[in-house]
Amino acid sequence: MTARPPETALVNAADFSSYLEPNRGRRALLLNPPVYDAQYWARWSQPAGLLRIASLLRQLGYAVNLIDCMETNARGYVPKSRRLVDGKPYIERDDIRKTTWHFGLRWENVRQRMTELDSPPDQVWITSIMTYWWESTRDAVTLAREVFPQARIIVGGIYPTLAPDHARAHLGADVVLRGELPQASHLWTDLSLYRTPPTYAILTTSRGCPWDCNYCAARTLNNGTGKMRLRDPEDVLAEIEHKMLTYGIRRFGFYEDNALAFRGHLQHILELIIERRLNLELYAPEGFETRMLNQDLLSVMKLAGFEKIHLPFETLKWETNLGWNRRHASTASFDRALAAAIRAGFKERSEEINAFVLFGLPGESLEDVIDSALYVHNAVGSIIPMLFTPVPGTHLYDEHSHYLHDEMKWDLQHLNGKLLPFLEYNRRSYPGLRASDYMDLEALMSVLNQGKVLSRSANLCGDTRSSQAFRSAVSALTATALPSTLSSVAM
Amino acid sequence: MSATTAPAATDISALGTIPERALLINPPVHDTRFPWSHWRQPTLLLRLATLLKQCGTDTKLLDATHWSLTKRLRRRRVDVLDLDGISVNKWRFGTPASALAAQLRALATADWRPDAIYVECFTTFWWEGASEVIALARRRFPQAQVVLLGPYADLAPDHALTHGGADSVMRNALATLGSYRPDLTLYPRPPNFYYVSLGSGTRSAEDILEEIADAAAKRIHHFAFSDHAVHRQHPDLFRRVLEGLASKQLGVNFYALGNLSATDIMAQPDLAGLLKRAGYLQLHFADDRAVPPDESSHKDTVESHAAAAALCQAAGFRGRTDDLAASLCIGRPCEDIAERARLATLLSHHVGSVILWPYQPTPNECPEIELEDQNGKLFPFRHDSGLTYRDYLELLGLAAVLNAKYRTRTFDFMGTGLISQLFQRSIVRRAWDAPDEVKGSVNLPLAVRS
Repeated sequence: MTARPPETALVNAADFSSYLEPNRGRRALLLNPPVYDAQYWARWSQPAGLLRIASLLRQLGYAVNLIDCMETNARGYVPKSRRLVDGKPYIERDDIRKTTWHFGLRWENVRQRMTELDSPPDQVWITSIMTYWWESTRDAVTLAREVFPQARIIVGGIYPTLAPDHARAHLGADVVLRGELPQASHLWTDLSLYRTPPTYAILTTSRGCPWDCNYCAARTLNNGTGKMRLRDPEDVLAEIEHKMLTYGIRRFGFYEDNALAFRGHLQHILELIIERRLNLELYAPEGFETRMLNQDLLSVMKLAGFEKIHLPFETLKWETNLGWNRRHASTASFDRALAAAIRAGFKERSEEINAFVLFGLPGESLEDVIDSALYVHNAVGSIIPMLFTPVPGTHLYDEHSHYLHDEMKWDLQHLNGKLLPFLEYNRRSYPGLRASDYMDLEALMSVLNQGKVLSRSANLCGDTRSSQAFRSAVSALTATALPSTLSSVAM
Repeated sequence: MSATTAPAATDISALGTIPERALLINPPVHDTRFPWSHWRQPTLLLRLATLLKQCGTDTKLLDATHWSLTKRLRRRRVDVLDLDGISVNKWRFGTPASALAAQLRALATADWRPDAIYVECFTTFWWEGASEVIALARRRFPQAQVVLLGPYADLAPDHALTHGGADSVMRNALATLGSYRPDLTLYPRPPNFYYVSLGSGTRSAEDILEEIADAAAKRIHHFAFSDHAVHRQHPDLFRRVLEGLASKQLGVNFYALGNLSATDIMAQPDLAGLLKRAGYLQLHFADDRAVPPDESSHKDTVESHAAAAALCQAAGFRGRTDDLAASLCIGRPCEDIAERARLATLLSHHVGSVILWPYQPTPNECPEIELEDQNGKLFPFRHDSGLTYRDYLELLGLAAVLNAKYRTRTFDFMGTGLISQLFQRSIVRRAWDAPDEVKGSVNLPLAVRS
């Protein structure tokens, strides 16, 4: 597929009102494109932004259709098929291979779904989420252009907001929307567009984050401001109750920039859930700011229906946190939040408490990453390894943009964390570093999580006789072997 | 299938009067766990079926733990054990009692009434399952003679008669039946695996190969030898069978489930290649229960496993995958659990993974303990070793980490790769005990500070 020569208008979403006049006769097709990637996590992947646009367009009188190429089947999976890149079904990255997949509906099925519509749409709204997934957005635009040559094609979402010039140059859309459509920000997601109602829903009760971590794009996504914007808690409850009544949904996931930054807001919502005796399963897969977690809040979370919590541990070292402009975060805060969580009834070593460990960053210390993984393994037993992806619109990306694009000649699709964009960069510190070492690092964190007996994960750092014996065996080897074998690695 | 060796008169007499109709029952299993359940097959009953059919007996089988019936074995909690303060569920695995009763009723309704009922009980501490099905069968067929066979009958015959509910026990049935082929036609759909026996070394390699070829022709692709220490006890016959398999290329997969040892491989360096050519997919080495747990034997164990693993890898078995596993016995009397953990760590380093096999005492080793509580998974000697059940859970947890796979491979904690070495350094400096200056301070929001 080839992109249409751009006559693309780049428009700030806030200025987009001229496109959004009430119009009873208009038809809009909303499209969540497939994903090209080596792996895809299908949980909590509903295109919430697009579904809010659906609500907005319906309010304006549009007839709306949805093609969500990433809709999961009853078992929670999306279909996948091999995708050739340069004629090969895999990408070679240093000494490893990554299979390349087309996740979601195949293009012929998307075309079929498009041609099955009662009437061609006047507008096709395409959402685009990860910046490194932009190629499938481009192909979605091309297909939409072929099938609906008269339609206006509008692309919005995170990718066009963070990389608007790239989107304008590469997609071939009529309009690239940068930023958030304010009219839709607090609307409910419209799940009625699905043929099979989803089993969960995504909630966003607030937007904005006062912090500006140097790897995070939240500030850029919020028009460069750290100001918090809140939804009315009663409106959130009304949305929950509507989705329970209409679709039978009881699982809700909070997706927020920083759910706790405005103190009391989330807690108030949870207290309303408790007060109304709604029987819900609640999740916040992106985690909570640890310094804002206290026993009172965690007890309310537990009562309201949180079965698991995710804590953004990220790194053990305070100085690393400072380097990331995360002055508000520390291991001491994590310890405090963890103790409160345990007192509130969440069990450690049982996946009720999970913590993220970040790796794959430029200039990182692999020793620190492993120390962090061991710290989390000892403290909670459930490490969630997070491979870092440099995201346009972040300080860290800006600092390394020259390296990524000029030195390495990479485009955005190459910045996918799974392709280790900073592998060569980190060889400056670790000359022998290979891609397979990163796979080993991921493997280490993965296997540390897996030693479960009677639902509790084993602790290699514990004081049991078995753990001590394991460490003794490892240490004995280290005493004799390390100095020579590590000599090629700069520390 | 036909028997390969004509039964001796004494063999037949071991059965007593040859019944006209025989019902064979493999009972459900009462246990806290039922590992390797997909490899469980009532081989004695299936071999007995061959013998009975030769004698003209009309034979039927009820297998309460047959996997193909339900794909996933059903289980129901029957008890909660208190093991040093830890609650452990005890389950009944297998076809529900109501379904078994219905199957018995269906036989009776069809006017098929057995003269004899044979029940195989694979181990002494599973006697409750045998007792359960015997009671069920007796209720439906009170005139039938009930015979128990298998290790329960061999090792605890008095208990089997008084508690199991059998009329008689057939002791040492394996000696009588070992040379008969298992009759898998008793299953509506044959299992996808097959146990072959060298028949205590009395069978010919040609006969064994013919049996395997016959089973393969029936679309059975997974095989294991049921003989204990198969190479050590019958080295020549086993080799001839392997060579036959290698030359015939039957397209079958073999699994060594604890009856080959690392020393077998080390003693005959071409054996690993021969096993690979014969179709062996996985080698689970025998555990060390026969070896005294002292320092010199540990050294030998580690060295033999390191050498065997190297030979196997050179022969094409992939290290750190399902292809190879060491085994270690845990739960022996007066055990040093730290030594077991250390050995497990070393074996996992060399072989890739290590399976911990609970030591199973014979009934006379701990007569003061009820038979069902002699279950090795409950570690009946733990208190003699000054240990608790929790200690063994921790050891099992360590093994679970050592054996955990990431994309089909285990992680080598003692390896020489960069991440392994950095991990070792983190362990040495106890990274999880980070000092406060590394962890930073708690930067509380203003209102909380006040």
